[in-house]
Amino acid sequence: MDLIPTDDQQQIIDLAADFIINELPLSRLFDAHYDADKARLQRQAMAQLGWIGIGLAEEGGGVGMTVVEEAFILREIGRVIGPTAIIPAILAAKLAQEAGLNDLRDALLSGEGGAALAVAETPLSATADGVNGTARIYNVQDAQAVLAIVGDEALLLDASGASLQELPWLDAFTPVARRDLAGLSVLARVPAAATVHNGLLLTAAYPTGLAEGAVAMVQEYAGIRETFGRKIGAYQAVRHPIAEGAARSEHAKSLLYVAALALRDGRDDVALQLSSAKVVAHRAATRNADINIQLHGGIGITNDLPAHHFMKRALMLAPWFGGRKPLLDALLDEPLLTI
Amino acid sequence: MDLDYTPEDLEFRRAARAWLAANVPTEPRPAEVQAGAAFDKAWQRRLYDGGWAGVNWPKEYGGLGLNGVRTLIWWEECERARAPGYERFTIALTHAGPTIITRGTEEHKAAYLEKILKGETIWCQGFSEPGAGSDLAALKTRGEIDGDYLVVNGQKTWTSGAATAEFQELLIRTEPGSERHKGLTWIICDMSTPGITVQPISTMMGESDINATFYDNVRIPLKNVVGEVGGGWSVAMSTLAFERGNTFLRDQISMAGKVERAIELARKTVTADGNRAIEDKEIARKLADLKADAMGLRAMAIMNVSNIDRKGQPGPEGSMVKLLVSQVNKQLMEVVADLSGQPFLDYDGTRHSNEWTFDYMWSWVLTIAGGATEIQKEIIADRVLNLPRSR
Repeated sequence: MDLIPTDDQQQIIDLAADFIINELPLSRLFDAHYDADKARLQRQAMAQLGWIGIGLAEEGGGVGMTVVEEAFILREIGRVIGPTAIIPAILAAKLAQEAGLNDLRDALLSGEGGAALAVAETPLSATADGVNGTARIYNVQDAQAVLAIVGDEALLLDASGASLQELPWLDAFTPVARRDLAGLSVLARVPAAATVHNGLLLTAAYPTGLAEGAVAMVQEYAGIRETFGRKIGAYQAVRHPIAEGAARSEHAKSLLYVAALALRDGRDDVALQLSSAKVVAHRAATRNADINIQLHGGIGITNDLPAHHFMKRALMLAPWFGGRKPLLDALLDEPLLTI
Repeated sequence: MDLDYTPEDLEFRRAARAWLAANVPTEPRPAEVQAGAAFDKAWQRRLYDGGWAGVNWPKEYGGLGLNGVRTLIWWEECERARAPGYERFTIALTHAGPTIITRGTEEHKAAYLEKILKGETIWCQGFSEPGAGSDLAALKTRGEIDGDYLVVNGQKTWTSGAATAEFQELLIRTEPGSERHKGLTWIICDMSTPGITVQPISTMMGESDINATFYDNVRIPLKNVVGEVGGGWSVAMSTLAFERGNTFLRDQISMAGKVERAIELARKTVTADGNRAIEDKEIARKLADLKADAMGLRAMAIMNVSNIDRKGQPGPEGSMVKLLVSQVNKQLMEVVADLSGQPFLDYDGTRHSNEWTFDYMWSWVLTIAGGATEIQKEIIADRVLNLPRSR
């Protein structure tokens, strides 16, 4: 039993952190807007690093690592509020591999194309040839397929040629559409459990990074900004919420690692660990986003500072693969296997 | 990185489980102070006779010298068996004993350590004073050297177990006019020495074993000083890392079980509207949220023991555990009070009349004792985050 990344794993984390500091510094978000060309280049750069196929077997064109390494990468991306398009891309590439859709798989792994994620707005139902119901569709840019979870099935829907009209949207860096899924033809359908579990892990890893990134940002500011003749980090009204935020981050990170290992190894309590990890990470992300905005003062609510993007991104990810309430309702009855 | 146990770990777990199943007392720990202490001594003796005393004390001092993972397994099995906790042996096993191991002379070690493991001697802590709680370095109880003795005068407070303890780890000011962390001495005080008066402090729980301790010309041999005269602060802090890594491990592990018992309570409690408490979505989701928190605390415990086994000391999570455990516990107790309704008030001043009600009140002890929540945040801000100093 060991929860510390191995040297090889630490190297993956360090390389990801290096890439992110250089390519995705928080400063890129200052008063910026979504730029489709930049987003495409970022997707391709991440694909070249092998991130989209990091957990996919080598014979499927992937890197042959595991969901644990996926979680490391998503946590690093979350720290800088990086692109979420990688989440449906990772999952869709695995589904494409499973369904023998090699062209789609290769397009996703190379970053040439993207995948979108449908999150139900009304109850979805699957028929023999498609899905009925309205959904928000996240990350529609260059989407070749739409991933949808309908009941106990995961479906890949054909997005090529489909009308995916972008909406005005709170999170300015994620292109989102809304439509009835009827009319999108089915590319693949498989039992949902593996995709949902994998999706829960990725959407627990990302907000864990958000929580850590928000604390790092306010921690830095508290060491620089002065009021009443002192650095604000010397005031308990400021340093105590930051200390609590750091504790929330450690709590979320530890649980994320346990959940990742539970999924990798197919442990009996995987559902409990994953649901718990997402609930705890989401809470850490939203509360730490709050202290980051609040303790920056007035500048915190402006576009001169990316603090608000931590809040918006945490809100956006909340319903993916199961929102807080359904997760809580499910985990209440999960048996405790540890004691 | 893995969650697997080695075959030896699993064998250890089987042995611990079997021994605990055969040896955990069936009767509850008595509420009365003297009877409670006798119960704790008997349990510690049973652990010793079974070869389970001092799980993470080094082997050369009679402990088991368990690594982090085995310590975790031990506490998981204790929780599963609902085994007694350290109780009155908390100070001896987690603070005074480790301090003597780290800083004591061979004579000290020979005189005190084995008796702790055998359940013969209870220790209490003489650190806090009426004017020095969170700000421990403000302590004023003084000791003057008189020949081969230190003569102690003053008052300590919050002395849990003082009425039943054989010994006390006592921190006093031995340099007249010294301030703060300087001029302090850590000394072993025999509680039967003339001049010591123990006065119980009545608490909101009704039953309690918290005391004020008064010292009137108490003569303690100088050979009882651990470390140097005047070097007491560093002695008192020398086991800090040990404590951070281990003291709250059982609480972390226990939280999942405690949440599960609260969920069971909600399933069987019929509320004033005739429904089961668990049918109230607000109650159910709060409990589920706390169950998720408890899984996180267990994960932090695994992170903690991983850091100890790999790097020899806890990582940043070690400083954050007490803050989180005591807060999750308080939130859980609030939900239990909420779902229980009026029967929660049925309480006769002893924990056995209503364990949940006692635990509800005890939740403030956990957020205050052993470094209050506010002090834990200062420690994180200073030592983990390196924020500008507030003091």
